Amino acid sequence: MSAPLSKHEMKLGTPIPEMGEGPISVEPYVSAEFFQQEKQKIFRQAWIEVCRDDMIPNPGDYQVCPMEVWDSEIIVVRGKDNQVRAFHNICPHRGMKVVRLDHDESQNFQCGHAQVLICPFHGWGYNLDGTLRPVMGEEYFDKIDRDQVGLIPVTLDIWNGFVFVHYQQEPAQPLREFLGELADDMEENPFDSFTHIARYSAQAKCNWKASMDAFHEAYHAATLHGGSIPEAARLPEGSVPTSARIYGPHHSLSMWASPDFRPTPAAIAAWKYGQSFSAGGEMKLPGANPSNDENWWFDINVFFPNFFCDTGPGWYFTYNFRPISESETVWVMDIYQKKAESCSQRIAQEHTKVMLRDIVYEDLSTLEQTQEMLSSGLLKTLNISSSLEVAVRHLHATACEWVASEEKT
Amino acid sequence: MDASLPEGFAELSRFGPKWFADTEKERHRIRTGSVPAELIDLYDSVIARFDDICAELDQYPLDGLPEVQQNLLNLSLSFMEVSLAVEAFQGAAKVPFGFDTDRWEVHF
Repeated sequence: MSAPLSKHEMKLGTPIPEMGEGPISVEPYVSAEFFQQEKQKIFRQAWIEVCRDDMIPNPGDYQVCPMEVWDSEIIVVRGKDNQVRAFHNICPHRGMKVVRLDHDESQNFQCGHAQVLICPFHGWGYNLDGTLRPVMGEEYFDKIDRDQVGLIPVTLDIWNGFVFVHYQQEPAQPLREFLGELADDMEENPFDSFTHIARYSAQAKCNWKASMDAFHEAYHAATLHGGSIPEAARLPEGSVPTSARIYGPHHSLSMWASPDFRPTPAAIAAWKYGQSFSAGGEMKLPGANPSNDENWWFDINVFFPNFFCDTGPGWYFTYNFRPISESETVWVMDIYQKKAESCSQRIAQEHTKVMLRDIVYEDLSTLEQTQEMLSSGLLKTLNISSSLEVAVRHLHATACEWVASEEKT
Repeated sequence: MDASLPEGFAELSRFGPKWFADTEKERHRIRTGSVPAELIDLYDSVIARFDDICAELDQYPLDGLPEVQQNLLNLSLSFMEVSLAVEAFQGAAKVPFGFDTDRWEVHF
């Protein structure tokens, strides 16, 4: 690498696999045919994170999760036995959605509570384990085989409170094995001790990988965030992660907090009384900063194919990128922080949200403008750095590798 | 005498009820519909009393605040809402060159 950015070197916490060199192809970001392959060979072969289990704490609580990439929608529901299960949201009678999206006005989540799931079309009802209940007018039907006719189950498993689903009835790998060493690094992080403080979402006309690429490199910060985080522009060595780790299809980067960081007055006010996202947190939590970097700010942890769980001192946030098409993606961000115990801590907490949110407005601003121009066909390749943008190359290489593989089922 | 805020904070009562909104969703909507001078005025006025505000509010438990203290808390949350806009964007109500606010959902 010839760039004079090595005021600090990026440590490598793992060997970097062979991922090719030089420019990367644009095709995977714009091709409808490639996207069809991804739907089959990535999104029906990998574990997909959909929600946290504490969103549905009580028996009968359910969450409806759109799964556009499966051409489906699922219900994640906690049964009377406290077991969390998932089902495709389709009634085997005539194909109607069993649960209609119910927006909780206070929280605006697609969630609800029921003892029995009842299809709104003809009233077929299902127990929370998916079994069919007695049907109105059953005597007018040929015998209904209850072993065959029920809600269609979706394979589900939970790691550290994060609910993952899999399209296959018998996935090639169990969840924990799939999550691998990245989950090892994060295992001890007390995710269930945090409070959910914000959710943001947007639908952007941008490929899912190109969307993710805006969030797993720091190289853009000095320019794109030059106004919102002037420190990033003043100290361009912040463009280099302090460390990077690649674990199979997943990867993790640690971000640098400059020792010269000069917080703004609002950030100073927040830190005086509580926790903020801005650099300067000293809360040491297990399961973060795995390479023991000095001047550590936070980790960007990316579980292939489409889930981020970024962990910092006293907070974490997640992104889910739900592909709609080769050029459209739904992005959802959830922010979690240690519970505010006092009013002043609550005010400080607001700084975390607002700072993150306004910075991410800038990140999202690049998505559609990038996709629009990538779709022009003018570029066949992109000229990326192998170190600064190692995660971009890794996601690209991993998607290409999975698409090129033989179907596993 | 205006009693929308606790005693000693009368000069901030002119920000109510607009900036006393209960949720981030609402505070963000209000911010993006305001003008820079208003955001800067809110920022300057609240940060000048920030320590006093925290001292006042921390006499009460976070859950179940009396109405006037709740108004003061919500005003302080509005201050944070506009903080980056004032500190980094010269009071711009929307993030300059940011993603379209109308297509960005704040869920609660």
